[in-house]
Amino acid sequence: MADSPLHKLSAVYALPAFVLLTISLVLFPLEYALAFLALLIPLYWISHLSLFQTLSHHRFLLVFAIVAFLFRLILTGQWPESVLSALYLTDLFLLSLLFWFTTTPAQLRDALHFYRVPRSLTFMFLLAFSALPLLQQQLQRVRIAQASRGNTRAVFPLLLPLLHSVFDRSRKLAISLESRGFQPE
Amino acid sequence: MPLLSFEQFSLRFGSQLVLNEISLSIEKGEFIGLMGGIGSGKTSFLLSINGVIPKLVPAQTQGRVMLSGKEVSKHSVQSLSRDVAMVFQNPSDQLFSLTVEDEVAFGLRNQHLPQNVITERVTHALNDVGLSAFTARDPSSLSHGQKQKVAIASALALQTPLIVLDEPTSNLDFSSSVALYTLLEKLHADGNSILVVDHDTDLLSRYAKRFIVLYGQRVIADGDPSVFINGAAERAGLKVPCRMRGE
Repeated sequence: MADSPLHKLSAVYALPAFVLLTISLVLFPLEYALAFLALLIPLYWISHLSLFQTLSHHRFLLVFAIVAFLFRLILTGQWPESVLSALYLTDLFLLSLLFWFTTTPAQLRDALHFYRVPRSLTFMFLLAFSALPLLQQQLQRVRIAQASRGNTRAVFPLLLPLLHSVFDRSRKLAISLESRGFQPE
Repeated sequence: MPLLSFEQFSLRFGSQLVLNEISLSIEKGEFIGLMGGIGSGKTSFLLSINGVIPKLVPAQTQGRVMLSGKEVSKHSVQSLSRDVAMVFQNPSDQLFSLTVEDEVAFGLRNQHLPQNVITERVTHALNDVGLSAFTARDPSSLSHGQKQKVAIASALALQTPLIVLDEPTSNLDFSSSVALYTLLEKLHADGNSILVVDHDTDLLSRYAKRFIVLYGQRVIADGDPSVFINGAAERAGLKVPCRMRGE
């Protein structure tokens, strides 16, 4: 899987492409959401990633798409527009996941160095990037803990411990960084 | 001049008194075990050494802490990183770099040292903890014991006069804990000053030379291993080491 053309593509090119596509997605009207999906399907195919498996493994992200759909439907009563807004968010998640799965943190760091991004900003990106797998692990732990107590459905009992652990790690990491002399520029 | 001194130091979080008029001093080259029950203020004590409390964790303090002749409250946490290196309880909370080498070099880069000095110190520190072959590894892929060693190497590379470790064996099995203390013993023999917080009195009593017991927000004992048999350790809810009970 890791030898696909997208995996091999240097982050020096992948990063601006990702940024450009994200900006386009944000700036283009909702009607283009379907066109973006049509663009993402071959990109997933090239990267040897299964689009459906990726979505299924990260289905918690779809909660946001469903919320966007319901929100739009309640506000406008327009079905097509509501579907497109959900699709728009799904595109955004699929694009981000594609970049995440085909770029290693080391490649991202090298690309940010290449573009002379300030050290503290590079640092921030890397921290966020490296936190994603940890978040997933933590979510899994919380899910098991909740399921073992009979709760398999409710979202809040999952989110609250997850948020607590995220803030706790951030606090401890900040203390560790400053204790080693880190000073944001 | 002592390396570290607490002078009538009190610490309070809101209405909760955590440390009450602590006075003690630590000389260069000492290997000290700091002990106390849960909630006795051990971690707060450690975080006061480099000013994390009250600069990053708000608290009300009285008295003063002096480190290498500097009044801690008058210096930033960053500048004090040249005087004390901290190793926290859970290494997973402090490791973030993409390679072991980068992780150990992080503190040195913050000091803007020349690259040749950084390389030399990183090599030396990783060699000391036995991780020379792991330079290119991702720290998150290492075992807990290896992560703890990376955290210690990061502290060693800073070459500070004092190294502080907060419950370094809390997530380690017995043989890894012994290996860790053997490493600390070697570092002490090399002239480093070490302050360790640990609940494992069996191990601590075997390696440390001086013991400080915190209980009821105060230091109730400070001295040689006799603190384990004169009732101070038991009063603080600590286990008397097996070898001192004749077991």
